[in-house]
Amino acid sequence: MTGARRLPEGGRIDRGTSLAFTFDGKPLQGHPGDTLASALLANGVTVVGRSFKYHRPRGLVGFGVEEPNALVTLGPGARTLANTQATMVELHQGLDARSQNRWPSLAFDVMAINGWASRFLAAGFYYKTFMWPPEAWTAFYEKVIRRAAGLGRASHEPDPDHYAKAHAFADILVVGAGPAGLMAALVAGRAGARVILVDEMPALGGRLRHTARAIDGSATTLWLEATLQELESLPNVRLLPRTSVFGAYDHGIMAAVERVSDHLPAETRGALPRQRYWQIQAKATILATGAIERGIALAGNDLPGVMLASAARAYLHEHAVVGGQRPVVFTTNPSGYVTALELMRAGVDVQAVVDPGPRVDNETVVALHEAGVQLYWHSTIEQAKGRGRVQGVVMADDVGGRREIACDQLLLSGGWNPTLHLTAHQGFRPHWDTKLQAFVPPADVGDITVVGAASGRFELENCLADGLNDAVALCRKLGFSAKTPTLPKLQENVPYTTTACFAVENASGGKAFVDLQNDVTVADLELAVREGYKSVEHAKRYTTHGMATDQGKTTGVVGHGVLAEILKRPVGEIGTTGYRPPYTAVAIGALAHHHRGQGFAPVRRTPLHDVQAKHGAVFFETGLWHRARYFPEAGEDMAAASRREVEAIRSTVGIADTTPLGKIELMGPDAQAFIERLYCNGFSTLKPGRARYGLMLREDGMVMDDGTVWCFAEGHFMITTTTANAAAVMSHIEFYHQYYWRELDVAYASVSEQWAGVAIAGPRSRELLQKLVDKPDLSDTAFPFMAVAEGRVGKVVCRIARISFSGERAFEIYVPAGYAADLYDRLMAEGAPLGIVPYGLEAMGTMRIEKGHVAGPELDGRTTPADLGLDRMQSRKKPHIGHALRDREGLLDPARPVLVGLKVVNAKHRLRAGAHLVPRGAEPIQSNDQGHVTSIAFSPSEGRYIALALLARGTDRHGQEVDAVFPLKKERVTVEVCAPCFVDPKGARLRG
Amino acid sequence: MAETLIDRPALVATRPVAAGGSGVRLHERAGLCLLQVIARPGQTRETGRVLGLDLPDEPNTTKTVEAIQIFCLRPRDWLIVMEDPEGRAGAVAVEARARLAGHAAAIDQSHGRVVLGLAGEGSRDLLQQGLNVDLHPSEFPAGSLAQTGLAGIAVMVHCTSAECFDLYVARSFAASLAAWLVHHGATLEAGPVP
Repeated sequence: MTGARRLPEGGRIDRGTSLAFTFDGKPLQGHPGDTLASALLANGVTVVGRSFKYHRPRGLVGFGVEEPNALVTLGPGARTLANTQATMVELHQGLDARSQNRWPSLAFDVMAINGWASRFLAAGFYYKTFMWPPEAWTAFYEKVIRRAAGLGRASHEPDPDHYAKAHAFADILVVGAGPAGLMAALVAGRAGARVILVDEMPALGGRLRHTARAIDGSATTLWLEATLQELESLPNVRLLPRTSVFGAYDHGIMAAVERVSDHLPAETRGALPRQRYWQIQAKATILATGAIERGIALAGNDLPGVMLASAARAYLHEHAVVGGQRPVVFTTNPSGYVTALELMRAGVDVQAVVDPGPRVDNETVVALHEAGVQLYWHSTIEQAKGRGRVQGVVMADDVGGRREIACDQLLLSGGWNPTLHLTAHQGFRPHWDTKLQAFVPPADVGDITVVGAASGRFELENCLADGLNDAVALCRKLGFSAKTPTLPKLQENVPYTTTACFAVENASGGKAFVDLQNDVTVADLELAVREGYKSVEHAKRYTTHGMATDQGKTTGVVGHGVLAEILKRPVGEIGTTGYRPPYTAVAIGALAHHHRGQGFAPVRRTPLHDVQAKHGAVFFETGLWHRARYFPEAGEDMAAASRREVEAIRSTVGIADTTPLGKIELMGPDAQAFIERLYCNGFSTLKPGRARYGLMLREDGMVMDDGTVWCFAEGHFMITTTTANAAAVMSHIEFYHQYYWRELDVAYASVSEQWAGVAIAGPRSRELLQKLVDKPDLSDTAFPFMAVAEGRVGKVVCRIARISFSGERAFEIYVPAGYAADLYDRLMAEGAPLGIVPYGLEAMGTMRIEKGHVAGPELDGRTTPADLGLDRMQSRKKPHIGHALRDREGLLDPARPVLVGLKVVNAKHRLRAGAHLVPRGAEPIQSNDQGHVTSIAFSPSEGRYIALALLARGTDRHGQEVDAVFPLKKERVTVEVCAPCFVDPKGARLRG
Repeated sequence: MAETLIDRPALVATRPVAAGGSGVRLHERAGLCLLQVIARPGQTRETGRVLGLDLPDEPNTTKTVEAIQIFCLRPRDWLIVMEDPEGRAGAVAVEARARLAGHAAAIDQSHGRVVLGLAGEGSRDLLQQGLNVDLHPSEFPAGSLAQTGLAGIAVMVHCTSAECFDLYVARSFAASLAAWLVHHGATLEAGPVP
C-alpha cells in the first residue's frame, strides 16, 4: 500500500537480530538500532497519530526531537508514558506502543468530524465559544474540551521507576556531538581540559551519521569511529549520549536529562535509574547543537507522506528505511538536492526536485540531472493531494503553469534553523539573517561559544573548522596549551544558499499548516491579524502556534515568516517569540529524583527519639522534626493519654524532650549589651546564675520570638528560642551584628544540636533530679525559680535552669547530646518509685494553654507585646529592636484583638483552633468578626475545653459570652471570655 | 558522685542497614572533640599562641597539626578537631574557655556535629549525586573544606585523602544524611556499640 519499506542493505542496524514489538496491539518486527519510528516505517506504517484539534491522520515528519506528529503512549499500567516522540524511542524487545488521540481506532476516528466542521474551530475558538458563564469553565467546558482534544493519558498510579541526579563539573561542556562538537571535544580533550560531551541521540556523530560524503578520502564512518575511539580513551573526557541539555541557567549552569535505561525492557533495567538529571557547571560551554530543517506551509502539508528531507536522509543512512518509492522533493536550499541524490543512489525513484529559487549548478545538480531526475527552478509545490496519504502534488512553474506530479511522498526543505534555544534561555535574543533566512544567535553570547550549524554555518567544512578553531581559542583562554590539528579534508564544498519560502498560496482551499501538533493553519494566523493580534507574541498565544510539546521546532519560524508576509514587514522586524526551558520534555520524576515519598525532605530526630519510642511514644511531625506527641498506655487514645500525663505532672513528676528548642551561646565583653538590644525587655540587671524570660520584636514592633536568657557568668550567656524560629533568630542575630552593631564585641554560635535537654516538671521534680545531679544544690533556697547553673552529672558537664512552661515546679537540664538518652533512661528508672510519666507535645501544649503561655499560634507575626498582655515587659528606658515602630497609631488602637482565655459554656462542647469569634447569635460574616481562637486544649483542671484567643477589647470583656464559629464545618460554640490563665494564677506552685 | 552518663553514638538506631553494594564505606567517626573557637577582633594571633596552634585565617581552609585538624569556618572562627576517646571534650571546652579568656570564646560542639566518614573507590561519584561542589582532585584535593548542602541538609565536607571524605552534619540530621548516602550506594559499617 504505502511505499515505506526497509532497503535490502545498508543502515546501522543489526539485521541478524529481530525484535518483536507491538503498535496498537499489532505485532511487528524491527532490529536493534531501530527507533520506534524507523521500525514503523520499515513495516509500512505511515499513519502514526491523529492531530490534536481536527483529528486528521498524521505521519512521521522528522527524525529526532523535532518530530511534531508521532506522539505515542508507551508501556503498560503504572509505566504508561504518554506523549513520547516515536523518533526518540529506541526499539527494544517487547516494546508496547499505542497511538494517541484517536477513538475508536487510528484508521477510523469519529472525532475527525472536527475536521469537516473546522470552520467553527478557527483561532481563538475556545475563547469565543466557551465564554459564559465563567463557572462553567471548571465545571463543564474544560472537561469537554480536554476529552475531545487531549493528548495521551497519564497513568494515575505511582511511578514504579526511580530517577537519579548528579552534579558534574568541567572546564568545557560541549553540547552536541555532531561534526562541530566532536571536533571541539577532541581538541579540548587532547589539550587536557576536563570535557563533557553530551548528545541527545543514542549514538554520537549527529549529521555525520547521515551523509555519504567522504572525510580525508574515506567514508565518514571511519573518521567518526576513530574520533569516538580517541575520545573514549581520554580519561579527562566524559561522554554522555542519550542526554539532552534542556535548559541554560545563570552562572553557566546547564540542566540535562540522561535517558539511562529507557531503551531497555523494564525487566532488564535492574538497579539502573530510568533517567538521570544532570546539573552541569562548566567554565565554558561550546554549543554545537546544529540546526533543524523546517517545513513549508502549503495545502495538504500535513498528509502522511509529507516529511522533512533531512529526516528522509537520516532514515536512509541510519536505518536503511525509506518512506516512499516515488518522492518529490521541494527544497529552497542544497540539502534537498543531496537528499534526492542519495535516495536515487539507494534505488528510490525520485520524481522531481522543485526549487523556488534560481538554478545553481554544482556536482549534486549535475549528478541528479545525469540520473534523469526532473529539476524545476523558480517553481513551487502548491498542494499535496491524496486521501489519507500523499498521492500527488500540484506544481506551479515559473511561467504560471500548473501540473500534477504523481508521487507517494513529498520531502520538504524550507531551510535550516540553528538550534539556538540555549543561548535564548540566557536572554540573548536571536536576530534574523537575511542571507540564511534564519534566526541566528548574536555574536556575543557570554560564556557560550556557538559553533557550526548552530551559529548558521551549515556547511560541513565550516562545522569542522569552527569546532577546531573555537576549541583551540577557548582552551588557550582557560590556560590549556591546545595544539591545532590539521583539518580533515573534504570533497567538494557546496556553499549554503537559500530562497525565502514560508508558505505557498493556493486556490484549493486546503489547509496549510504552520503548526502540525496544535493544528494551526496559515488561515488562523490571517484571522489573528485581522482580529488585531499582530505582535508575534499575541498571534502565538491567540492561535497556539508553537505552543505544543514540540515547541514549533519544525514550523515555528515558518509561522513567523507567514506572519511577516501577512503584515508585509520583514521577518527580522517581526522577531521571534521567547524560548524557555525545557528544550525537550522532561519527566517530572527526573526533576524530583530522590526527593519523593520518604526522601522528600530530611527528617530531624532528637537523641531521645529511640528511648522515647521504647517508652511507647507516638511521634508527630512538626516541621522537619519528629517529636513525641503522647505516650499511650494500653487502650488509651491521645486525649486520654495526654490527660493522664497532665494529671501526673500536676501531682507527681513527668519528663519531656525539649531538645528541639533553639539554643545560642553568646560570649564576650559586649554580650549583655547585645542581648539588651535584642530583646524588648530589660537585661541589664540579669546576674550570673539567673535566667530571665525574653521577648524579641521585629523591627516593625511585632513579636518575633520568645525564650529564656541564661547567664552563666559575666559575658557568658545562652539564649533559647522557640523550635520553629531557631534558625530565624540565629540569622537575625548575625544580621544585626554584622550590619548594624559591628562595634559590639560579641561572639555567638548555635549550640542547639550540642545540648539535648529534658524538662522535669511536677511537685517532685527537684527530688528526682537531685538524685542524678552532683552539682549544683537544687534546694529552693540555693536554686530558686529562675536560677541557672553549669553543673555535673558524674563527670558530664550539664546546664540546669529552674524554669517552667507547665506552671509546676520544673527544671530543664541539658547535657551534651550523646549523653541525653542515658540521662532519660536514668530519670525514668529513678522516677519510677515516684510515679514518673514521660509526656509529649500534647500534654506540654495543654499545660501551657492552661497557664496562658503564648507560643507559635499566638506569635504569628501580627501581634504586639500589648496584644499578648505582655506590654509591661516592654522597656521604655532602652533602645531595642522594634522600639522605633512600636508606638504606631494602629498598634496602639484600643480596639485591637488581645489575648484572652475562653472556656466552653456547655462542658460537652468542643472547640476548634482557627474558629472566629462573633457576638452571641451573630451571623458568621466578616463585619461581625471580633477575633479568632489561636490554641485549644481539653483542660483536665477545668474539665472542659479551653482556649487562648485574640479578641477585640478582650481585656474588658472577661465574663462575657461570645460565639466561636467555624463556617467551613458549620459549627457554632458558645464560650465564656476569661483571663488567659486557668491554673494557679499567682504562680504559687511554680515557686513553691 | 552520681554515676556518670554514657555517650551513645548518633547512628545507633540506624543500624543495621543493608549493604549498598558499591565499594563505598560509611562509618560514624565517634569519639572526637570538636572545639569551636571564636577570636575577639584583633586577637587571632594571641588565640593561636594560647592554643599553641598556627590558625589558618582564610575561611574554608584547613590545617593539620599532628593529629589535630583546624578548619577556618569564618573570619576569626575555627573548628578544632581532635581524637577524644575518653570523652573529655566538655572539660576541654571549660578549660579552653578559661585559658582563652580575653582573647576568644571556646564552645564545645563535639556532640552537636556527627562526623560521617566516607571512603573507598566511588566515594566522589556518590557524593556528586547530591553535592554541588566540584570534588575532582584538581579542584578539591586532600585538605579541602566546603560548607555546603546535601539532600537539603547543611554539611561541611572535608577531603581527608583521595576518595576519602568526612561529612560534618548537625546531629539531628545525621540519620537522614546516612540514609541518603546508603540509598545512593554506601555501605554503613557497624559503629562503636554503646
